[in-house]
Amino acid sequence: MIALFIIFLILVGVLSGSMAVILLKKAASKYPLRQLFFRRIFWEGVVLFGLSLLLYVIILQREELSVVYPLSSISYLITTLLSVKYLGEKMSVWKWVALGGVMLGVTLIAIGS
Amino acid sequence: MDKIEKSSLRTGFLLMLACTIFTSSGQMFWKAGALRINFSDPFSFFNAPFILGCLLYIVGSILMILALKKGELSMLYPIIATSYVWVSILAPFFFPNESMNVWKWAGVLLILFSVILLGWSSSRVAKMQRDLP
Repeated sequence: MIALFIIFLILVGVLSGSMAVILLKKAASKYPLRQLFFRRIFWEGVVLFGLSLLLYVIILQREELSVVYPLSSISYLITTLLSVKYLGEKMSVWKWVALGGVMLGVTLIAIGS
Repeated sequence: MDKIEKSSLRTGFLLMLACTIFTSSGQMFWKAGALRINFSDPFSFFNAPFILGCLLYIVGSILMILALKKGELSMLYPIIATSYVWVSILAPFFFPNESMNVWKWAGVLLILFSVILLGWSSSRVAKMQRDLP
């Protein structure tokens, strides 16, 4: 149904997108706005973010939105897990429920597309 | 809960929402402008919708960085899903061929409800952490 290669690209895109935001969050929390442009961690985040956007464009040229949306909604889950592990953020039952709702909502929109 | 902390979370939440409005509308203009682009003609890049779209996107990105300063990622990142909500509202004006249907409405409402729930539960988690001995 969907090529293994595309799934691989999506996973790489999702992972780099999530890691990008983790790095950007770390950079933004630590440094004031005008200093960010001089900080390596900021640019690492920007580059990874650019990579994920590029992969997204490549994937969308090959697959439909109705397939790509739900798979990329995994990025919400992965980012949340990474932020618990690497940023020390705390979750609650309601936060998990809300996250699930968001992922399901994105899937519903994909079905309608 | 510390008043400063609560308003900081709320600021982050609202900044992120604003970010998604800017990036969504930026994408709409950008796509509309991209239709006019012809790679063999460099001047075709200088069309108003495309440039406006890029500017909106840049403003949105700045807002995201500002939001990241204020809130937790586990609260802020899923707010990106509200982009689908704005696009669903804006798209009919830019691309009249696409239409809404029951699935999209259900998804939009679920996302809106879930994002609000996420904001609320995040402030509760922060409060619980703060109240720990």
